[in-house]
Amino acid sequence: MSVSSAHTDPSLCWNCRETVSDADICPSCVKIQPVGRKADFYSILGLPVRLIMEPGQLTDRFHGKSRIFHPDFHQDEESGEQLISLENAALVNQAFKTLKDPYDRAAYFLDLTGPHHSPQGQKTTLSPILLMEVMELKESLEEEAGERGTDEALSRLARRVAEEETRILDLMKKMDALLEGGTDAGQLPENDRSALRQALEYRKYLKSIERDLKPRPGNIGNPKH
Amino acid sequence: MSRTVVGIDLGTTNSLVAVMIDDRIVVIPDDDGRPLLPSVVAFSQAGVQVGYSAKARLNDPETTVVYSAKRLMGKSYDDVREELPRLSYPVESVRDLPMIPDRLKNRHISPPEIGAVVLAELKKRAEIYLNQPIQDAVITVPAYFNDAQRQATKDAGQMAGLNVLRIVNEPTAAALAYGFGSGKDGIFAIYDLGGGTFDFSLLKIQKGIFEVLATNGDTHLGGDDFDQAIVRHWQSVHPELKNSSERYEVRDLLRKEAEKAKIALSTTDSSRVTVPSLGLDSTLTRDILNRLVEPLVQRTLVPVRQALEDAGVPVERVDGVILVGGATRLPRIKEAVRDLFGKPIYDSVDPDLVVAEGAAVQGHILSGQRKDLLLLDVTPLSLGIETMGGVTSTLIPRNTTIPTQAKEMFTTFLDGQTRVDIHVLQGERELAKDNRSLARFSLTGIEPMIAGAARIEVTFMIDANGILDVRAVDQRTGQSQGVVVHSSYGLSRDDVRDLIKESFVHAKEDFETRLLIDARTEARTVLNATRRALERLDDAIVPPEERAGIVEQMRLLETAMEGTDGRKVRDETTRLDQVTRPLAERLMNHSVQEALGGKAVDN
Repeated sequence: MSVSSAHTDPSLCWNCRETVSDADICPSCVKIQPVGRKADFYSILGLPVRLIMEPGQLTDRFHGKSRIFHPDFHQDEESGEQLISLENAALVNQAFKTLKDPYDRAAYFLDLTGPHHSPQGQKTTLSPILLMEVMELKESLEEEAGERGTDEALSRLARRVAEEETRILDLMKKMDALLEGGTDAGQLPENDRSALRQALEYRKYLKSIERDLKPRPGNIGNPKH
Repeated sequence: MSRTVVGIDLGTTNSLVAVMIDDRIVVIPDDDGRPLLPSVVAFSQAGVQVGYSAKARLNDPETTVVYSAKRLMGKSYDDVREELPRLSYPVESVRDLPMIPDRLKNRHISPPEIGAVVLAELKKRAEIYLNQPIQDAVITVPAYFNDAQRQATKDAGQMAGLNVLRIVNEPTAAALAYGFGSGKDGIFAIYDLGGGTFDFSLLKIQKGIFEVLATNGDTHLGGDDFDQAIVRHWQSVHPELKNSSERYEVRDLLRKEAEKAKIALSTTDSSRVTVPSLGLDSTLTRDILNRLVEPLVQRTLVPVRQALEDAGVPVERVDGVILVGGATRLPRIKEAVRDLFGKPIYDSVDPDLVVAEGAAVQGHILSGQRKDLLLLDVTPLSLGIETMGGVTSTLIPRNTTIPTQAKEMFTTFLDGQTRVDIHVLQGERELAKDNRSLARFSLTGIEPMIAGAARIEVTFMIDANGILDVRAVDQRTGQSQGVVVHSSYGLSRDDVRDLIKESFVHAKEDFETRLLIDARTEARTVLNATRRALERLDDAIVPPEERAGIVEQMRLLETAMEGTDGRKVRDETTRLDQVTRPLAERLMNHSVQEALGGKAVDN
């Protein structure tokens, strides 16, 4: 993540140059501070770096930060501050969107805490065995859908998705327990990390099969006509 | 001093303006007490007319009467070709844009200029009613409007001499008008069927935060289509009407009769329609009407289901449905909505007024007078760029909360290449050609080097209005990179600037000039007040250090006032306000103490 005004010391207020460290609002001049200087989506929302998250707490943080930064509340400020407000609100929205979905959150967590941290995310490939398995499943489901209708195929698939999601959740809990016990996020066992990565990727394949099987709710408006 | 921000519903058929006065929403009527202003503009020798007087000239051959201009806003000529037979005024293609020829003055008028005439009239109406100049406004648009349509609406506002603080989606505005912020938490659906567009939004309300979960719609579906269905029915029952319908006046007459019958059937079971001149004498029952409109009703449910699916909200979790738009008065619509949701229906606020009322609430929030409510809306369409092979690569998916941004790295693929073109699209389709082209951006002035060495980070920012802004930074130098925009449809920034200058609405009111004049006036007031205060206060109240800070800021403001940048003047005025705030607070305290006879004030 890049810092919006990189040429200055991010621990000082952009306006009055007093120390702000990681506060959202400068304690001296009460100006909002760019959240782009923070390391990740967790810190933008003021949450601990964890895999499991209580949805209510996440929403509360999102709403709280929106009340601080949203452009609606900074209409009378000068243009520089309005720009900070706009960028902050965009980052807060992005952070909430990423952390809201447990699977997006897990993927983000792995990218963030992995040894080769890259903002674009790491490319994961499913292991050849799992890939084979998923292809076979796809074929058999399509066959089933053709013979007995999509409903049965979809419910069989839904059970597979639920199994995979339970597996993912268990892995997330296990890793969170290690974090609670004081393990550094970067030091989590590599086999847990890769198991989680594979499980997430596997689930993604299952969801895409689901999308293909499901009847569309109708045409999504073609913006041209 | 807080400013007054009005809320305007710029509708396809009617427009209106509302404002908050003492925590009450007031729809501002015209001199005759009518809240609505028909969105109709007439051009004739007599000049420009707007509203009812323009509508009255519909059949005058000497006058060009323009209505439903909203349907043309932000569109290309090709986009609107199918609409044109429905319109009684000529529309010509000028640089691929639909333009209305004004034969009297030998020029062409763009749809945003028509919108500007309507907006200027509403602005004037508000100024007379409130007895003060009005600049700041919130204008509503259908939630499903794309970037170009939003920009066109904003342009219209500027041309009318308005400072458009926010473009708000109509369904979300309606929810604000229902005052759901206070205690009524839950998930609500807004079903908005207007004259020409259909919008559906799902909204989660929690402690004053209105969070849109998903939105969908159809920009070509509305009450007008119901009227057309009735006309087609008459034509099929009375084949002789088909021939005479080729004449515009006949079509228009039939359409009006259809509209009348439709409205009558909202309260009665049958309605007799007689047009002796056309030999039409027919009785329309509610049953026939229901049968005629059923396909249209079903069409509205497609976006409804899509939005529910996008939000991941099962229909049972919706706590209530708000009905907006005149066409929701139709009993069959209410019935269909009730059948689908089985939840309370909210329709107590006049569906014609509710959107403007909500816009007034949003205006109140933006004026800084209201902090308990906050609207978090979404972008209705996915934003992407064209990649190799004409494929769309999505950067920001639809239903993403705005403001939002996406960053993408670009490079050169030829040695010595100095420019990179980016084609930005909006829509849900796989292929670029099937989506709506928003603009082509050119990154220019790239230093010639070997292929792939350039690293230009481009930020695509969608602001709280749902309007795109693109910025580029050369990653190697940290310098911002030149971006040249070629809007695909709609007016270019230069066009808009020219039109504002030439605008017949505000011939002398160049927006920037006005901003500068206003900013200078305000700066002068603040400077004089500060100067007077400093003159009569001694060091005991203003320590020399603080005085020096204030004097320095006064000097900066005076320098800014010599320039021509209104925004800079406004910024420096804000800063002066800030440096004098502690003093102002102390003075306030001081005078309170004096008033209390020198006693300290206990908190």
